[in-house]
Amino acid sequence: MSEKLLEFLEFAINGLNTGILYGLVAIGYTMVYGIIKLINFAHGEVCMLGIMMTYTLIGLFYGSEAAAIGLLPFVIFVGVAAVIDGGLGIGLDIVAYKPLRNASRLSALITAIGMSLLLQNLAVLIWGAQPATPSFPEWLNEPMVLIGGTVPISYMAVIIWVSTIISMVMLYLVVMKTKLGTAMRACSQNSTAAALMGVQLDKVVGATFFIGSVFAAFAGIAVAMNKGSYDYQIGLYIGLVAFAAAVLGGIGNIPGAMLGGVIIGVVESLAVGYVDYIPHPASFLSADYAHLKISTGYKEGVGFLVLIVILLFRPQGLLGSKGGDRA
Amino acid sequence: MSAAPKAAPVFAKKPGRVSETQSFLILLGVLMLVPFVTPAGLYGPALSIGSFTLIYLIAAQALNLQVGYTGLLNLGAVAFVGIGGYTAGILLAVPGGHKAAIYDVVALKDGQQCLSVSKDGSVRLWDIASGSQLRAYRVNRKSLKSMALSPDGKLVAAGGEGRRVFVWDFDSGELKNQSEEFQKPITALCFSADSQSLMVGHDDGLVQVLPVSSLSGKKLEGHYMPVRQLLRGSQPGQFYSVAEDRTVRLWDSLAGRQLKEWKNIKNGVRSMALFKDGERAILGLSSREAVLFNLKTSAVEHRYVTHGAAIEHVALSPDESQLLIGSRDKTTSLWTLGEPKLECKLEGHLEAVTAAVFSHSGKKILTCSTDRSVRLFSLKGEQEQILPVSTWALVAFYKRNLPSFSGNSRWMFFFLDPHFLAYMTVTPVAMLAAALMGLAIGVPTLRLRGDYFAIVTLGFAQIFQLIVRNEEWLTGGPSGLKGLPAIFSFAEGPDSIAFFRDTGHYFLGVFFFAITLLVMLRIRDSRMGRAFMAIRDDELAAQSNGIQLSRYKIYSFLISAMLAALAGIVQVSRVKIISPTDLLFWESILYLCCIVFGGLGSIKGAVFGAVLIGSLGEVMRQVLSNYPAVPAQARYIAFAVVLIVVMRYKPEGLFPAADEELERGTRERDRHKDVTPSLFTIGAKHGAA
Repeated sequence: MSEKLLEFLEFAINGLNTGILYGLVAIGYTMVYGIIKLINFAHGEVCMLGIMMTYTLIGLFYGSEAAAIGLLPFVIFVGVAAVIDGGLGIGLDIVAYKPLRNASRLSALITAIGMSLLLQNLAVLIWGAQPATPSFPEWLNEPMVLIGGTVPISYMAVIIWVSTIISMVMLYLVVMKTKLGTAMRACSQNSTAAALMGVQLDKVVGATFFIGSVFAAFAGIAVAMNKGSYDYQIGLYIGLVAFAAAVLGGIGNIPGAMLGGVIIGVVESLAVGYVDYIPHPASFLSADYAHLKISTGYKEGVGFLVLIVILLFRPQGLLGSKGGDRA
Repeated sequence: MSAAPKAAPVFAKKPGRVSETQSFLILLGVLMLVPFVTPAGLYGPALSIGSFTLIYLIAAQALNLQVGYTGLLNLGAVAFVGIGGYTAGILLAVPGGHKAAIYDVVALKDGQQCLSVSKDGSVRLWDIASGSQLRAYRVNRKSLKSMALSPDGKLVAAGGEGRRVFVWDFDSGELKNQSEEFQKPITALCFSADSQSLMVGHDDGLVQVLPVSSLSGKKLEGHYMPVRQLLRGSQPGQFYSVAEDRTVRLWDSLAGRQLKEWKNIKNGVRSMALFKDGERAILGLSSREAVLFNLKTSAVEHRYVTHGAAIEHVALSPDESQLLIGSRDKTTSLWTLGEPKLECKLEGHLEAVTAAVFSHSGKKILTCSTDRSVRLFSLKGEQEQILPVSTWALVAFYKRNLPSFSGNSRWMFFFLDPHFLAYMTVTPVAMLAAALMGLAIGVPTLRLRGDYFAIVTLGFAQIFQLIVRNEEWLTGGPSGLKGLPAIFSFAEGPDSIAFFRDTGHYFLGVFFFAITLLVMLRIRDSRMGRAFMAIRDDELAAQSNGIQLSRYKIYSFLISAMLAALAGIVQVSRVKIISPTDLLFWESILYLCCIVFGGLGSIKGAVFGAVLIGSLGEVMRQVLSNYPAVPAQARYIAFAVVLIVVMRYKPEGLFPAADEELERGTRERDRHKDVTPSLFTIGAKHGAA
């Protein structure tokens, strides 16, 4: 394979890896939205809390030797933290959103923003504002295969792909084949009618929050490992991008969320990789500005840019259906 | 749904009560009186809080027009405030000179001219007295880090991130030669005494000796961290290098080998100045101190400690009696060497000082900084000249063409004040820029509703923040635009009138707030306002009654953006800085909080909410900073809790718009039914139907 192609492949694979993680977080947004029509703005913070709790647990048991943690204990800790995080998601629903089920959607959205602000600042109080380095088995980041001799695919990437496929299949089975899933789908079509048919709305919503939060916790850990650092603000960034991913795919649609995440991840990575080829608009103005280049700092905005462009042409998102209240 | 457009309001004033208009006039009067009743000692903090609150008052009303009147949940309001502030800032202080950080400066002709090298990819020759640029040596698309002037004065060499060395002819400015691309960025340059070869230091510690004619040559290995400076030794062919790896090395460029090495210096060495006898040197360290280092005994003979951050540059005066230390803490210190004594600190730079040098006679000092300026100081520490960072072109224009006044009552002619007129000139332009941005956000989002609309506006605001953060050449990057003019010429400088120093920006705020209030009141009671509210209450019904949705939504964007821009201008006049930290996502949310507390769509409510959040927040911040035991987060946690509680128990806010309508004698309305405007129109009350 030519060098150019390999380079492209590397950017694309990196993008796919982060994109999958955005997609996993986006699933939480999209499921909650599908059922109670609420943008759970605090979802990013739930994701952040998942990371924080994992490392609190690891710190508790391993202390200063956290860097030497093995794979099995690491996975166990992440699992335990994810389950606690799932509980936290349910708690968030009960405390903040349940009382507002019949209130206007603006009230609920503002409450969600308030919860986001609250959780972020509580996290600063508990864990401090300093960025920390996540400890995990180092070999996870080493390449397992080298495509064409240069493009590495790490163990981490393979684990993410495999576990994402498994969890997506499981999620599909839960939503399509179980009683709970049927209830979820019923609620998302018409929650009042579903409740009249005997579906316990609160339980369904609770289960949704649980699933979304667990996914978010897993994805959050992986994002922190990719990034090499985490702090209380990591949730805000993941949350915003994941939300853009959910809207891009068509909010309320689970495969759409994953698709949106992958698209944003890949475009983001390609944009950063090929940024040097894009001339800076001001460099045409005068020789004074000829040194200007497009900064890689725009990475965080790529998700929104893709979202805005796509919404111009498909206001309901890629896989969304043209519902009454969606534009 | 049956929300027809409202009938024209009938002002059925109840006897014995103040009308709404009267109460707002009273409010404005009280605001105007505040500076006169505040005790003089409290001017600074009180009016700082005052104008901070005014920013919120204006921004909240502007957002109220969108969220409260029209039902467009804009989560990116801060971008409108920001573009207003930035447009005003850029126009008031037009960026000039270097477009990015300056890394080194060389004094020429006894401090009458100088050369500066900048990250923007140019070396520039300046005439210092006039502040004009005589010549520029440029490389396209490559940032520069270091430069050197050949001892015979004929060549200028520079290099940097672009990994090439460029050599120009000093007089003609013509590029004579450039090297191959090296492995690593270039961090230091120095000519040999005969101007025939060039020593080059790299980011990875490699040092090279290149003949000027070919620009390719020997590699000298030894350093393993960035080389910070190279300087000629006392013997021909010898030169010293200092590096971050805590060593100083002496090399023989002719033989191409290392002669000597001084290890175990306490910290990374940033800079070195050599005494003529070649026995002692001054080393500037990354640990905030410079040391007098004996090269014979490797002993530290004295420490010069005064700076609060790493040392960037040290220089000796030509007679070796004085020492300059430039530091990252934005200051330069001048020392007498014999009996070490700190003479003075040269202050004025807004960012890290990257180099400080004496003129040939030793009577002037030149410093440069990442703030894009070169400053000329006297030996007493007085700043004599700044080479242009930005020019107050507008202010200067009015100064030239208008009569000037003096004396303590010159404030009475404030309407002829050049600063004030400059502000008044940029205000409409800033509003126009904001309106254009409103259009840019409004048109693509026309078809979006509810949550989709909210998230896209949020996205626009985030992208705007990224632009401001990354386009350093225009917006100053993360540190923002600094050194903007004050609102009145008599509010600034040594001969300012004390009263206006602290109150000028406040009066501007009150003036703009009055405009905002007027606009909001007039719109509410106009055809346009009723169209807005009809759209808010039910888009379909509004449309079927002949209201053009897209037209009125765009109006809402335009007017709201223009009003918000006023808040940005108040912000500029208040702190004379505008930076991306003013554009954080949470600011939009706080504006939203203001109107939600007060009650959506209610002017009175937004006033109340802004006073509460703006002043209380700022007071809490100032008071809390005195109690280190209370974490700074307490303020945000308090906001969050109040927000959640208000939504839970009084979601219609403290002054619901519906009440206001009742008071104004409009159509009776069932107060218990549907008080909160249902923003998300059709689907809102019917779930996913």
